[in-house]
Amino acid sequence: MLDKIEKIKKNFEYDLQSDINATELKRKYLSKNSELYAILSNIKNLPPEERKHVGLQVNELKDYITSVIEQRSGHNITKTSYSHIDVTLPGKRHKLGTYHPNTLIAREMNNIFKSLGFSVYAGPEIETDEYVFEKLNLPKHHPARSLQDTLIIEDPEIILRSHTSSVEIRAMENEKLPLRIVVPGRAFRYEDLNQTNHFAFYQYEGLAVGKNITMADLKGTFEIFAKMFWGPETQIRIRAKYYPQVEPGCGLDVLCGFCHGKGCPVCKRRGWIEIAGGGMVHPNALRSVGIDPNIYSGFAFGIGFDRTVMQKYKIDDIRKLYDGTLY
Amino acid sequence: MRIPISWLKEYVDLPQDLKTFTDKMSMIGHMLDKIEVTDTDTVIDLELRGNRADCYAILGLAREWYACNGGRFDVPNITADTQAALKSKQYSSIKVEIHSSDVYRFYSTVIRGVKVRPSPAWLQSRLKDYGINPINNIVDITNYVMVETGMPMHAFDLVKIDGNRLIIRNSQKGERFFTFEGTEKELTGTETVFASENSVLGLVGIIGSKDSGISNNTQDILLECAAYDRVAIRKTKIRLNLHTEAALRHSHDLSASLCDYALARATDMIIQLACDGDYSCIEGYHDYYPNPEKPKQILYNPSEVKRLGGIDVDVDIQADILKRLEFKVEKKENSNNLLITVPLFRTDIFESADIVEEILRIYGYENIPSRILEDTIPEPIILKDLEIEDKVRDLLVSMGLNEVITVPMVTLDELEKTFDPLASRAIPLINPPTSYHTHMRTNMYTTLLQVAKRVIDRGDKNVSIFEVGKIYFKQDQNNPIPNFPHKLEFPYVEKRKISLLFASKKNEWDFYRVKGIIEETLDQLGISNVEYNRYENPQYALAAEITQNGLKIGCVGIINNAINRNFDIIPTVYVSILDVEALVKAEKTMKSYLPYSQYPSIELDMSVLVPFEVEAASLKKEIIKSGNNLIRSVEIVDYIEKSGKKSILFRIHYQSKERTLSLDEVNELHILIENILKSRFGVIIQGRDDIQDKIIPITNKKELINRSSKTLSNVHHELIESTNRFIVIGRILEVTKHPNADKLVICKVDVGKAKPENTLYPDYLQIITGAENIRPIESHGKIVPVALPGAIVKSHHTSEKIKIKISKIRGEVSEGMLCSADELELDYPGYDGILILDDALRDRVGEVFERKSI
Repeated sequence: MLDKIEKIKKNFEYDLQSDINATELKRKYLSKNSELYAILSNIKNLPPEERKHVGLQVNELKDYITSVIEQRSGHNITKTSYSHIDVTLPGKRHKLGTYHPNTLIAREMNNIFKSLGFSVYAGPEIETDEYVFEKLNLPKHHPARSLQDTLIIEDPEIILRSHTSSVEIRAMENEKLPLRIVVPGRAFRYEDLNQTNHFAFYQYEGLAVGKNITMADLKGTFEIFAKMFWGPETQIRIRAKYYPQVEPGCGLDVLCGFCHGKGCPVCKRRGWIEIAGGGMVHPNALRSVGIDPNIYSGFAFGIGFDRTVMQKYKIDDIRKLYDGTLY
Repeated sequence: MRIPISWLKEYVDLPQDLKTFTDKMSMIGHMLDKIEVTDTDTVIDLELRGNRADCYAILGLAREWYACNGGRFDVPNITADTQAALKSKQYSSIKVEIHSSDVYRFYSTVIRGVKVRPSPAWLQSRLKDYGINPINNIVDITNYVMVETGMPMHAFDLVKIDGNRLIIRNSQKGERFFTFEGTEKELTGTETVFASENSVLGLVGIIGSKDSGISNNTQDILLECAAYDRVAIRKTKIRLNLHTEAALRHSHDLSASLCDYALARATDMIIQLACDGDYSCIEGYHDYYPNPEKPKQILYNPSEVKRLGGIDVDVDIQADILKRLEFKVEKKENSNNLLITVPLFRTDIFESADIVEEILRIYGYENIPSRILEDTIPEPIILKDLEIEDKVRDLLVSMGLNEVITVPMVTLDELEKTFDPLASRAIPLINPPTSYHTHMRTNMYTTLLQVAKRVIDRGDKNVSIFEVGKIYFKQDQNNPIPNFPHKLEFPYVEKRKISLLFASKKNEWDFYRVKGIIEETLDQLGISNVEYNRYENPQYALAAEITQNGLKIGCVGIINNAINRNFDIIPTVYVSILDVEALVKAEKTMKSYLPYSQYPSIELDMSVLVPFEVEAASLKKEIIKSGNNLIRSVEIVDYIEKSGKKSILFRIHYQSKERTLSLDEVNELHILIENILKSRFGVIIQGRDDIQDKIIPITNKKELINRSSKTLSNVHHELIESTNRFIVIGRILEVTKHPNADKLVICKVDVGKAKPENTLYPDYLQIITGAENIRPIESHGKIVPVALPGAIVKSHHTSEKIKIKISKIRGEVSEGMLCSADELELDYPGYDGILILDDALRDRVGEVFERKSI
């Protein structure tokens, strides 16, 4: 019996060399009149111990012949009919939920900064005046404090942080140098609630402290960030700007995408859009955490986070970010 | 700061193209705000720079431009006559008395015989372009010089200073006066005022009174220019809501040294425009200046520009820039350092870093190169709480939840409406931003319920949301909890939480679905051995506390419906909270990929009926304990409530790591476990204990009852019971001959909802059978027991147990088996072939075939 099977196989392989077509091969080797079929239908009459062995061999050959013929004929000869399926009907989807846009943007930014050696950091929202102002070169009655009217929990010392810069102080106190962190986080100010202002808003803060850190590093880091975040054609500029917690200070702008620098209503005819503020960490802030400003230097920046989210997702009202109307 | 361009051009040259000018000014720190074209001029508005009070002045900005651009910088000269008059002779007609420490300098002159009249047109138009309405020549000159030099000044009508004493003192509580604009202000005793013997003449540094001002009849004036404590001015300005041009300037750090030039300049202009050039009108001066400012000196190392700015700037260029900004620069002998003397008006310069900024901004920030942090890369800091929050976000979103962020402030009333035990420890804000945001939230449910309400109201059927955020509360002083990085004594706590909320108008959610989401989340985080125990809390109608070895991880439950009413939400609300700190602390088992045991597993189901009090977890524990290490896992695959009890279907996977288990052995163990459950928990094993009264036979019903009950004694019978979910009631739709076999037929069999996924045909199974009682036409519509793939039945031929699989029989797919009584181990002697069931069962196609189906 096994000899017979071997012979069929040899014949089949011989026929394959000729130009005999698939239909003919099928008739010769797979039809009811084929030798293979004769063996198959005879299996049940074999003694049980032989039955198993022969059955295995013959089925193996049958599968082999079938697959070769299928290949040769270019289509599946035992193709099942799926004509009832309408491929233009929608599929049955497993719906994912949605992330809050802040999460998506923060992750995108975190990934960029992580690739530049930064770690993601966080700190408390309920803070002391010392950490929000004093240690950041904003002594009591500093005029810049009036720009940041704070929400107060216990007058005058305990407040909600009015910027995430307080986390810079926490990080410099608790972590080793050199240090590179980014802080996506919430800040609070006594502000009117309207389309563009919120009393509970988000900032994206960055800080790098070490021995050889300059404005050039801030510019380069921001440039890389901008190109990775907005695209490789993005152009940036830095210009002098005053922030009490840095010296020298700067504003970080991106070339207006609408007018490409010519000046238009979107950029208030400036040609540039202000994205972040930054500068070299003020010597007083370094001193306040026991870092010698003559040896170490550092840069810090803060990105207007909500505004960036709104711009990226074309959201026109900051309130919509935080009242559950989006998702 | 608004700059009428023609005014600025008086002092410096400007480029033809104003954009060159505004771009450069923006780059050096005076950002362009807007450009406006008036009838007479172009007005450029530059943002005010917070630490440069000297630049709230056209001359100040002209100096900045000059520093960048060079060229002409013409500061109007002061006549020698005025200079002499303001330095040599004190006036005597008025006595100035100063009783306030807020006054740093008070410099004044008395001018007699002024002719009050309208200002010349050029002056009027400049003031209008700046944004100040012209009044008369004297007032206009004070305003003009303020805009020009940055120093506010004020002119009093001498006649109005009754008693000839000008007193600067603290106000008295309840004292009133009318501002120059005519509004009445009541004073609190903290302001500093100008006063005569009998009346308040104005608030220093902010505004004059209505009566003390210059009128058309004024002949003699006192003109003053002063410097005050900026904090005092700022407080008064805010308290009395008087945001005048003078107050704006005085609430910043104005140098007292600027008074000299400003007063002289105004005096010159008054002599020219109101006294016909007659300098003898100047009676004299008075100068209160107890602590004259001294110039600051900074020892500066020019390499600081490189160290902080990252750019080399030649020392001579550095010095040149500083000189143009009116700094004095001396080279120190025997060192590279420069000794820099800061001009008095630069109140913003304190140390070397400030000098670096001056040099960099004038040299041009645009010249700073781009460089990427060449310093050593620091060790990464990993905050585990942030990391785990991010993982949970991914898991919840992948399970279809939507992330929201809400405002963490609410009202106390809202917190109390959630029956939060922490509400009594809510942190109030002293100055809440709105009346709806008075307290920090002590839970996230409040805001999530508000979102849910809004979502349901706008017509959505289903809410499934979560928030990763913080809750805030006062420390329990007797039992404070750590709150890094604050010290333990810090009276407030903020804690990271993840809260989930589900509600549906269409009852899409139930406790078990929500619990399942939490289970999957914890499982994916590697947090196993988690216990769920009933938890009583007024916030919930039902809740389970989630713990791991006593560590409280959170809870999951159904919100008390009284809270639904409070928030006006109709559907049942399911919630869960996870404590992020606990998620971090919880013990985690690393997921590892273990090879399957090489020995086969046997899967048997056990359906038990238990009273409600018996918890599934304790049954499961007992099963595993009794399993003698031969149980790989126990799943709960089905659960229903029925007649006051709960029915739980356990699926037990028996498997040994050492050998192949025999069916008999497993059956014995299975029965043993059943007996243990019976005796320990009083459970009823379904399909066994309850079977006898439920048998409904087909034909000769009485006889079959007897026969069937006999089968209960058969041990092998258990197997069918336990895998019976794979044996279902089916209906033969059509029978056709097998193309390749004479004795076989192909049946199309409807098994309703029991049909597995991915079958040959969408609505029915194709099953091949050789049974003689299944024939084309005559068998159409017959009801038969169908073994689905996965079922274990007794082989017709060998009497061994076989597992039904999808297979090809003679080239045709067979997706199951039609069963005979023998294959199902039902004892129907003389009944060969496929078991044909009662037609009445056609309504139950797809249901599990049990003895009672017969």
